[in-house]
Amino acid sequence: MEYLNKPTSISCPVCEGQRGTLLYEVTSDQAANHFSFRDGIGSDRHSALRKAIEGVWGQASARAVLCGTCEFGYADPHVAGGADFYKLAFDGTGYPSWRWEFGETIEFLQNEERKRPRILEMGSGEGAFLKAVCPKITDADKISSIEYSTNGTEALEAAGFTVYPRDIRELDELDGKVDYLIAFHVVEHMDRPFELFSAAARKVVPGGAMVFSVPLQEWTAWKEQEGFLPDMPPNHIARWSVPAIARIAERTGWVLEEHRLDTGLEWKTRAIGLLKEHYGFQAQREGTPHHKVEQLKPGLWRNLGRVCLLVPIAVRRTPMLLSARFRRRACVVWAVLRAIES
Amino acid sequence: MAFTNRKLGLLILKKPDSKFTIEEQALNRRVEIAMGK
Repeated sequence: MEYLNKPTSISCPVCEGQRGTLLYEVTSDQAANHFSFRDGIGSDRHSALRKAIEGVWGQASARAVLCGTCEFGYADPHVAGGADFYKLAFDGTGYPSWRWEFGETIEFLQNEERKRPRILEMGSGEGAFLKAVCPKITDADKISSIEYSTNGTEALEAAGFTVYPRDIRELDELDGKVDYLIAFHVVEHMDRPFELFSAAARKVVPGGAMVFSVPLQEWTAWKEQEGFLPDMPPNHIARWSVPAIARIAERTGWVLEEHRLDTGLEWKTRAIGLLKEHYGFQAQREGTPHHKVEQLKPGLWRNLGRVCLLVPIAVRRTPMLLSARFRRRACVVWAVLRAIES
Repeated sequence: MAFTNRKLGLLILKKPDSKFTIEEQALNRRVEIAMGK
């Protein structure tokens, strides 16, 4: 897979811009390999994933493009991965217990005039954020969640929250509107942004807010061009920039009131993650020693092989990862959209 | 339109250009382009 950076015509789902940049093209085979490289090309899992991805795309390839007007990056076809894809691609475990954005959101909610508000969170996992705001900021009976996973649903219901396994665009069961809609690392997985943000606006009272976070488009582009793992569709299918957030807000009944970047935060953890990504990208390519090591059974030899191959990567990449420029790079944008009061 | 960013001190249309850093001015311009201005 090659980064092309070629001008192309597009139809941006955020701003309807027509001129853009083709970042790369990817086949269903390459995408399936990205999510199943340990199983190998030709394995049952790889074949099933390829079939699921072709089902999502309706074709055997996709492209990643960037809008030249609002800087929204997206997969074309712009279609979210369905249940079949996610079941095959990920094992559904490992929700983070804390994120930087949780703290920003709690601080934001504490400074709001609305006390004990109604909150709806999209993609709650096992409820790490909701448990952090309940009962400190609001009560369990004022909290609801959109969550599909069995583990997550069980944990959320046990905490006393109402759970809807439903896309917000089809959520009719919610009684009335909420004061705040929360979504951490969810929006980048979702297609049809106009319908998404419009539906979100219908669920929030005027003067309420949508608070969400997504990976920053500039971070993803930089990472891919530096040779780290590509942000492969149909997992993440949207790359949000601040201008794109401002534009979709304006078109769907919101105002972008505030945004914060995680500049300089947890850069050491991020640097280690990138070294692993570099290794992972190599391991996806058949014939590389990294790929061969990953075919070994879990245990001493595989771990030893990983260490031996990670050392040269670390030697080559560390100067860049220690540079002030890298430390200043933001990875995530946290944003507050205020529902317009008519 | 009130578009604010408390962290960067960004305040499109509410603050003279001279008060912004170069980084903030560049982001303001990008937002204006996205808005079709």
